Amino acid sequence: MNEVFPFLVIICDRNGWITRVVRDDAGLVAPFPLPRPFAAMVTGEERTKTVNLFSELRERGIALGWEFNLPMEGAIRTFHFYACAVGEEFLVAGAESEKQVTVLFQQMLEMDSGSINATLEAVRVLMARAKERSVRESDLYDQLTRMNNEMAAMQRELAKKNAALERMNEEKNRLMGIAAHDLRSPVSTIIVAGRFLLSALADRMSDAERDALHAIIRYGEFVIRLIDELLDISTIEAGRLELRLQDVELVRLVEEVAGLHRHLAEEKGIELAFAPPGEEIKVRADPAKIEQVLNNLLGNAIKFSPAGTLVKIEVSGDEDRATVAVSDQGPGIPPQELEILFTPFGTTSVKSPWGEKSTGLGWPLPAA
Amino acid sequence: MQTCLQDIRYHLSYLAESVSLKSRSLFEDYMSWVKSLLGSLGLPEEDMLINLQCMSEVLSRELPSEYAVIACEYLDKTRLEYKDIPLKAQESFLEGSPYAELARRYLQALLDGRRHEASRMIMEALEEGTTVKDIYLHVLQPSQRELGRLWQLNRVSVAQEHYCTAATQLIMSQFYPLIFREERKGLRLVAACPADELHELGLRMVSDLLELEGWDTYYLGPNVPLSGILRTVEERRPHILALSVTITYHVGEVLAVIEGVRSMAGTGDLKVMVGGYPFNIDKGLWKTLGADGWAPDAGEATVLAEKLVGV
Repeated sequence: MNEVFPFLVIICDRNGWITRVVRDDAGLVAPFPLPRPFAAMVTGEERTKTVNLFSELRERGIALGWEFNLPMEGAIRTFHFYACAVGEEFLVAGAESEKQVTVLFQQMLEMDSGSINATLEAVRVLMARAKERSVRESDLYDQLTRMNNEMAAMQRELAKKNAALERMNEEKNRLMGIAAHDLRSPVSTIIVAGRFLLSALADRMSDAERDALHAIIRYGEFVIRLIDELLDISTIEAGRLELRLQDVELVRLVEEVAGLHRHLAEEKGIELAFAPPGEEIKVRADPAKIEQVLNNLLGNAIKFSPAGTLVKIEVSGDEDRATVAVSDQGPGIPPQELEILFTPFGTTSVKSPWGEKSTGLGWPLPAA
Repeated sequence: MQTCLQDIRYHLSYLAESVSLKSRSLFEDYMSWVKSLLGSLGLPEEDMLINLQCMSEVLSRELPSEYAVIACEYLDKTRLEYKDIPLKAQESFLEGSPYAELARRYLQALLDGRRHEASRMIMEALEEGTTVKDIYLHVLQPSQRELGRLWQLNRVSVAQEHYCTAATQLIMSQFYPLIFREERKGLRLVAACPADELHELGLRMVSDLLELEGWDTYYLGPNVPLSGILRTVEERRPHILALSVTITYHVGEVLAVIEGVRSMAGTGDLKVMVGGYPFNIDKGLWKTLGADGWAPDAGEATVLAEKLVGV
């Protein structure tokens, strides 16, 4: 009794089609859709025998000890079947050991007909539910695949558009670079000519004329600076920025740049304070780019500081890194606008007390 | 009984599509599949012969005579030749591919539910220098076909099939940065699976491979209504419209799209190419539908597209 035998208990209709499975240890029926002919389970030559089994069941209401050879896991196994009519259907039980199947069948027959019918009804409800669930699940899989397909197609479209945008941006940078470059030389000529006139006609000009000439030169210089920044932005965005690294003494560089801005700061009544540290700080850097960054930072600080305030420069460093910090007492930048600070041409709501224009390139360049 | 009725409905919808396309080979191919299936269920051949005869008798009475003649001819010929119809016993699609080993490991990983591992295998192959094209043609395409074969053999579940396909879609999307960076060459393709077609991976591969060749491809995906396809053709003015279906009774929708674009103004130069299972079975079907060409797989589809526009 210790040996485990696979059982098959099924319900068939009067034509010999399996309509429900009560127990199927060996997976003889479970993989297939129902209803399925009982004959489909047996080997070819025994199909007629199954017709006889069901004839006997229809005639006598019971059929005992029928043997059938069932292909199972690549081998043929002999099953013993016991079957009886329950209402309009047949209860069929089978196992490899005849003893086992008779015991099982005995137990089932000992149930009164009410219990058997109740069991059958429960099985019927369960089967109906399972079938309904399987249809529903299959439909859901299809729906899921439809959604997934749609998302995959949309994602492809997005990736394609993204690639197109990147290409357009590169093209824009290239054109911007060309345009800026072409603009630079006529504007340089305007400045040189202005300076020439300023010195050549120095004695013969009225104050108003001199002011106008100064304005021409000043705005010309502003445009050149703007062009240089545009050129840098397009170079950086195109990924073509090359750094010319060399050994640089940072304190002296900061001192030189601060010297250039001191005059402008003093004119506006702003104190530019730089207390150099006692020792030299050697760094590996591109001095022209560092100078440009410092120019932008100091230029911004002076542009947005009101008169009577302090712009402070601090330089510190150890073996790994050097820090240059510029702080001012201007209005500062609203926290919600910090994000746009580093996007090219993104200007904040902060206005210069001196009415100076903003290019929107002052922050992106040092950040790049 | 219900299953029997359901089966007859399938037989009739395949027969209807084959008759309307005048393609007996489509119906024969379907019958070959039915024969294999019934054989595996242990059902006697005689049942099917009786079934075919009944259908023929009923249709000859019920159908208008011009259709009845063709339908009954198909049914009667199939019945007479039924014993000789070869069983569908396809070889594995993974054998013979130059990347068979990778394709086998890839599909097995997906069948086991290990999609991250499958994705890693593909990315590693890419890093080792395998081209996107080779991965599409020799790993992903045969894996999908093998998946379909295993499904027909009832060796994979519906859930497994859907999972594997979704995972492959996701893995393909990781190639986009490579696919969309190529220089354009001014050729445009619009691709769509008409009707309620769930099988869209093949056409997606064709679109991606052409994008790699420098085409601008607009892949509309599956389940696109006729009006959507026509609108896109109007907007994009493609050189080629590619259409694909897997289910035979969706071929009629392909015909509707072809007739639709042919009747649009200014589409005189537009070439239409078709692909998918029914076209592989009936090699002349593309002509019947009025298409300009047909290709049996994603690789040949890219060659055909370039040929049709004279590249």
